[in-house]
Amino acid sequence: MYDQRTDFELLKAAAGKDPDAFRLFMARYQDRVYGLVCRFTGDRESARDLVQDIFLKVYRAAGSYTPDAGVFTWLYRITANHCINFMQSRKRDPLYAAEEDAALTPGVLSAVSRAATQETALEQQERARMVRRALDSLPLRQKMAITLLRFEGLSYKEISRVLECSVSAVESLVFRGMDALKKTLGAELEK
Amino acid sequence: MSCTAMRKKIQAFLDGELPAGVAEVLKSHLAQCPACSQEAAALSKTWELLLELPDVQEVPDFIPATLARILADGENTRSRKLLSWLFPVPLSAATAALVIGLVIGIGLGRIIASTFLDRGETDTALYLEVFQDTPPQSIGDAYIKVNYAMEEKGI
Ligand SMILES: [Zn+2]
Repeated sequence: MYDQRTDFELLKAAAGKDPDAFRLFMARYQDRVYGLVCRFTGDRESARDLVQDIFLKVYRAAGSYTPDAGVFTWLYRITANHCINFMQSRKRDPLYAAEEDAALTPGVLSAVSRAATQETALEQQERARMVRRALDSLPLRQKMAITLLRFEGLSYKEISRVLECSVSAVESLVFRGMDALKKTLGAELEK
Repeated sequence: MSCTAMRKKIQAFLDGELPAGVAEVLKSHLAQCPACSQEAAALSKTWELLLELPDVQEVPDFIPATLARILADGENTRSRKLLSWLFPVPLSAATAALVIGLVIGIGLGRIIASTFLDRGETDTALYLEVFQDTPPQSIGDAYIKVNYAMEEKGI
């Protein structure tokens, strides 16, 4: 049966240690969180652990949620911070530096079928890998801003709430990120 | 606005994020400046290329594993609270493990004793006789301390 409680009510109940309320909350949002984590990290294996870590944080923070921030903003903020911290610590980990290339393989993401074009699946994969590599070369906040904009459909204002900065700071993150992507991908495509 | 200033605004323009007045200025500039309109085209192409990363599919169900962790987390918090109440000074991991072991051991000891001694209620002092002359800082001493503390707290 569909539960009519609002997100706020569910979070309040979860804060009162009601795991069933939290189960419902997760059912509503786990797809979105997983999507963002996959897009940002490009690494499905890590994403599985990260999503659990994120919801554990959400559960612990449930009591501090106030409805004046939209639930998405709040949830995206926790997710974005967690992902950025994860990638930062991974960058410092020499174990992962060697695996960087493996993480770039677009295993997460199945190829879009493009029957209309003559492209082979291999070429599509190569392009996906190229885009992944270009995205991964961006500073993390630029990458997050562009991920939220392009794949989650957030506005600059919404992104500014998630990343806790001004709208003009978001504009700058997006501009610098897109400018860098344009240069990297432009050079790659001309090869 | 100079071309350099314009270029910084093109992305926001494409994202529909510029105030109407600024957007108008930029639009008419793009219409007459080949360099800037080329820049806009390159950014649009980059924007499209991002979709080369196809949709995320097959979202696993994270609920069971996460709820299990939440429950385990609750248990850990209770143990930590008991520990910090017993030992306000920070413990090393090894000491903490020892104390947890003692707590479990005492609990088990009571169950076993109450089962085999056929008593209605457990009598810790009886089992403690063995440890009467334990040297301070020894495991026996720790056992007695933990046991008394648990008794007092009614654990
Ligand atoms: Zn121009």
